[in-house]
Amino acid sequence: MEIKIVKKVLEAHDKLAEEIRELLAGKGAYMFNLIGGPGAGKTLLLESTFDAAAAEIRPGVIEGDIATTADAERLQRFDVPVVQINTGPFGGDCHLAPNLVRAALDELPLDDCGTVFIENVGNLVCPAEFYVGENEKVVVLSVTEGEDKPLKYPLAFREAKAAVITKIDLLPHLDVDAAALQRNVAAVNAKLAVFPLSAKTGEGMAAWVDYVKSKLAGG
Amino acid sequence: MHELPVTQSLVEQVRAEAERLGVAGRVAAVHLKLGALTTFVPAAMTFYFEALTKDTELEGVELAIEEIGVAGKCGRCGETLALEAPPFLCAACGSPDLEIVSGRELVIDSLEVREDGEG
Repeated sequence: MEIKIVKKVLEAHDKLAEEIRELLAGKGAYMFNLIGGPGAGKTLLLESTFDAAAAEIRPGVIEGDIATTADAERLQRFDVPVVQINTGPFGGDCHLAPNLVRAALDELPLDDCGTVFIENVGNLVCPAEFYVGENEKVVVLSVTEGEDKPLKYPLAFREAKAAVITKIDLLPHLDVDAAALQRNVAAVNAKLAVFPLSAKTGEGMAAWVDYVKSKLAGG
Repeated sequence: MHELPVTQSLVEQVRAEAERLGVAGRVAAVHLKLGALTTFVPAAMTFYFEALTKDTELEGVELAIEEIGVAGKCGRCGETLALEAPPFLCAACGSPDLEIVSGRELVIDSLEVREDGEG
């Protein structure tokens, strides 16, 4: 005998994520979930973004890592609240789950935050899968990773609303075809807002910072 | 690589559903729908399912996974079409404005239950 169930395996997960979304909406804070492989440049992107506009975007940060508090320490020079989550030092979770995000949000002064940035665990696969209540996912890919990556990791590029292509200052030293990279991004998701930039030299940063500002409540 | 926690959730839900339906101990198979645009590997899920149900009332239950292909609905011409690999463009009108309408499933579709006294 077959009994029909039709129930999402991640139902409880998605319900908690929706509660997070409502909590943030009530506080007027817009949450970005940054997803990218290890070394894509997520932390430097945050540093340069805060250098340009911390006072305006009033960010709170949730740093997700399997181990170490190195990223949170890099952000300490800003007057910005940062919560570090470690998912476990010996191959712990490969992504942040909504229960971890919910607990981290309790540590942030949300009444003072216009934005919340989740820097997800460095991984272009798993974090793309999980909705944690963010308003949008942003995929961060460095040019050093190669032009084929959007095709190899399509879910991250499908789930995101924006793609930040980092380290463009290195292009003269690489065999990477930047135009092909952008074509591949568009082939997976033509509706993505794409921001090629160098968080190191500042090239291209203004457009990204304007994009972040445009998401502020009433902005 | 995250199939273990997800399969754990699946096992807990199957257990809860079987109790709710009064068929605990009689489940023969779980039918799961898994979209192709997810990052879950079927072989990893069946491996963990077997490990997680060993020495429980669900030991020996088959996890039958049906893979669901990716489909998109075109925002311009309204056509719904199967998508194989990028570039994701509408085959009818060429528009990239595609909403994914299937391929993201991770759903317990049904439970196969033995009749009382059977097997």
